[in-house]
Amino acid sequence: MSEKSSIYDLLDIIRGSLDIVEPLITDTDVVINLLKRMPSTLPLMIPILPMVIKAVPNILQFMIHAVKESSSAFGGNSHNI
Amino acid sequence: MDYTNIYNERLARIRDCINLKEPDRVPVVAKTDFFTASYAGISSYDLLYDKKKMIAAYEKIAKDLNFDGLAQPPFLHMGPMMDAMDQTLLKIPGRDLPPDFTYQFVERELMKPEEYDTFIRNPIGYWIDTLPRISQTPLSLLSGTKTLIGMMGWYIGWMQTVKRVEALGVPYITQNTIFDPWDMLSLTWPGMLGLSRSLTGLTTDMYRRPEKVIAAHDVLTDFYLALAKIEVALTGNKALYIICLRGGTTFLSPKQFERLYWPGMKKLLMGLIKEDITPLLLLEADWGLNLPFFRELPKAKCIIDLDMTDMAKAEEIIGDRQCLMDGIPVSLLSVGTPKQVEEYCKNIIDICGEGGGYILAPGCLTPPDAKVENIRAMINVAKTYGRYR
Repeated sequence: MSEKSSIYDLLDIIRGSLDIVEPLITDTDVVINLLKRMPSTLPLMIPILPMVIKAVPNILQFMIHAVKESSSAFGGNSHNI
Repeated sequence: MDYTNIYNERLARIRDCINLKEPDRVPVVAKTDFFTASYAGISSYDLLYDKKKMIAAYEKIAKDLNFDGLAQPPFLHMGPMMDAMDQTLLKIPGRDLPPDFTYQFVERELMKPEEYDTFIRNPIGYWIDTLPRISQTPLSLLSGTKTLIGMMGWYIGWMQTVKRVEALGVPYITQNTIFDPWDMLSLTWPGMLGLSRSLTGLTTDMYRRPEKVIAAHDVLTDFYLALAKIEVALTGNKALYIICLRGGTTFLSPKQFERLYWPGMKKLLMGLIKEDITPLLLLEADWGLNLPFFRELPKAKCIIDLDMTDMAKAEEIIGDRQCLMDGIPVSLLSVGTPKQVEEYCKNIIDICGEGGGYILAPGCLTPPDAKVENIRAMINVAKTYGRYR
């Protein structure tokens, strides 16, 4: 990943965030309804909890790799440069 | 204008059909897909990338065409999310294809046969480890954040569309969607995790390692059942679209269906029905020989949405058990005349409409080149010829 592509990523993140912020003003109830319903989804995640627990090492490895990639994109060392 | 009464009237009509009761007339439901774009005068690319244009297009189609409900999977306005993933699963109109095309799925074998055990043992771990197979961008915090934000933007945009369409008096029947877990053995869709063994790979596995196929199917079924319940809780809508592409007679013989497919599908459907969720099964291609298995389900709990299955046969096999939907070939909507569409619809209402339990709709998602006059002819038949009282 190059510094240039990282800047494009950042711009995409800003653009995407605006896409999320806009409904907070124009369709507040849509976002509020989603937020209200979120807690009711938690017990429904129990059946897949064993799958998630088994995947903890993969998730950690994934995150370490992501951090390494990000630091390399801003001038660090990476085999992907 | 207040559309509440119209909305309630339309919803009651559809509910009567699901309950196998006779409504005032045959309801007509749209699955407008990329036709939404051509009807509203925008490109397929706009429908995928421009949220404002997409919502305006849906509002236009809901206002103008006056159908009784919308059953459209949330596959539009996915452009930013798919770009963020830098996915290689679909070719996108306006980027890889001409701007007015529909997107095209790229069939590839991404999982090797020896990897079944890894998946069965640790499915989420497998998906995380193999993400680079579907993305061209090396994973980083930035690309991960971008994907997450793209997904949130897509989902909220979708909920905004549902709200606007419903405010115009059109019930959005299915706000939740999953792919048939069986299909996810052979493919992967952006946002829907699968194994991508490919059709050729899976077909070979059905003979060489059927026990692995069954075990992986079971894992996918459990995963998608949980996901479906979470989706339903999040939207508050109690119907679920299940897109079934590769379980029909075209792909599986009744013997294969009984052994490999039906245990998983039955488990999924019973799990949903137990939670009072109405599955709407879009059975693509021909399912004629495999339809009798659906008689094992409790009565009046599903909508069976047929594509190329003989509707007379379907009505005979399962019409007394579940609500039937569709039957109109989308090719007829594209190349036929209004007169031909009218005759086809009248014939299908004669076959399936008696006593209720039938919803008129296109056989599959409406293509962008469908003729407006043909869509209007279909709606008109339901409203005039489809009247019970």
